[in-house]
Amino acid sequence: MENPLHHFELHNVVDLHLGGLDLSISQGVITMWVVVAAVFMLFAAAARRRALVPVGAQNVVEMGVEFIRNMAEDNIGKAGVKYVPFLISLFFFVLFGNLLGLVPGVFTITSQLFVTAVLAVVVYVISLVVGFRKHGSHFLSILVPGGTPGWLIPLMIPIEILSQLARPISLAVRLFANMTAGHTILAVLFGMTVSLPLWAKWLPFGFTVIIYGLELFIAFIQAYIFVMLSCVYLGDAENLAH
Amino acid sequence: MPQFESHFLTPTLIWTIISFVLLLVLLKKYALPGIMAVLEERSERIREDLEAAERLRKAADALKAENEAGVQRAKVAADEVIVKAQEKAALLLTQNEARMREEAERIIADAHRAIEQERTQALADLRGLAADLAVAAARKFVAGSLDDATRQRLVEESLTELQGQYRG
Repeated sequence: MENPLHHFELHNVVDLHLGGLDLSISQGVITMWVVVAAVFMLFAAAARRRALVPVGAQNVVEMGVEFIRNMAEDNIGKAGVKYVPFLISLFFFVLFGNLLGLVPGVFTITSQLFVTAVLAVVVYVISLVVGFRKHGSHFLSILVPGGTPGWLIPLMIPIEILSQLARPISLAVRLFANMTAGHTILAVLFGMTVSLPLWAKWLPFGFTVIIYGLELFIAFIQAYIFVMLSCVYLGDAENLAH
Repeated sequence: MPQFESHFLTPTLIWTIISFVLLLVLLKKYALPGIMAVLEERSERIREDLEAAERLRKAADALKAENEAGVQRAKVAADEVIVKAQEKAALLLTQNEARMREEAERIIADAHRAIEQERTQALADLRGLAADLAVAAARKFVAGSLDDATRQRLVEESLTELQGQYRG
């Protein structure tokens, strides 16, 4: 049976080095471009239509945009509006990465920890920048939750620092692990379908179909969770509770 | 796991940032303004439509109230007309009754008067007749000795004569 982790391996298609910087283009990078192109084409089609009663691509995109905008307003508040383009890009980048990965033979960019980590760190760094710019050093009070008794502060600060650090890590690992696990299960099941004798093939194949449906659902859920948590972190930075 | 092969870290990191920023810039510049404008326009349109519907509903309510008031006024006016007509009819009836009664009384009075006249006339005639009869009878008695049968015959003759006189 083929190694089920094989399809997570990156391979350089073009070796590119600029001034000692490794800019080699792997199939993952190319998939990322495909994702960017697909999302942009969908949005361009929606933007070109501009009908008052939306149909097709316009409908899908407007639903997504409304969804993200409401999420931003609910979790960040009025200030959330300025993050909407960023959050929309994030959502559709992750969603299309997840969905394209489900097309057989297409690489899953969101199963790469480096990719999800970059996105998570970008979100977290933005939240820190916003927090410090808006609240100055007072933003450090995020390390002391409201109502903490004075004698607990020495204990709370290290705990809160850990919880803050866990934010980008959990954000990155959640998406990466979900995608990796789902695709590994699919690869194992499909490997069994191929390798089992004819009379037993239907069982792993049936499960492959079921898990595939589940993975489609997870593709949406994980994109939603990623953006939802980004909203929460940005909201914490914008609206410092105390 | 293949995802932890560190020599892919730098290119993946850089290309992810480039790709994501490219997507963000493309969407922000070319797609989102149009889409946002359409969304704004639609919500504006919906709000306007709702407001217009509310205005129309109020106008319709006002119109309905006005109509109802009009109907009420018409009903009151109709009631007044009916009452007036009834009063007039009653008045006419009373007047007619009085006139009829007067008329009847007048007719009755005329009749009484005529009857009285007739009676007076008849009495006068009767008195004349009696006188004539007495004179005639007396003349016959004076005329001589007559037997009873003759006397009877003479009286009968006188009566017949008088009768003929009065009938004629």
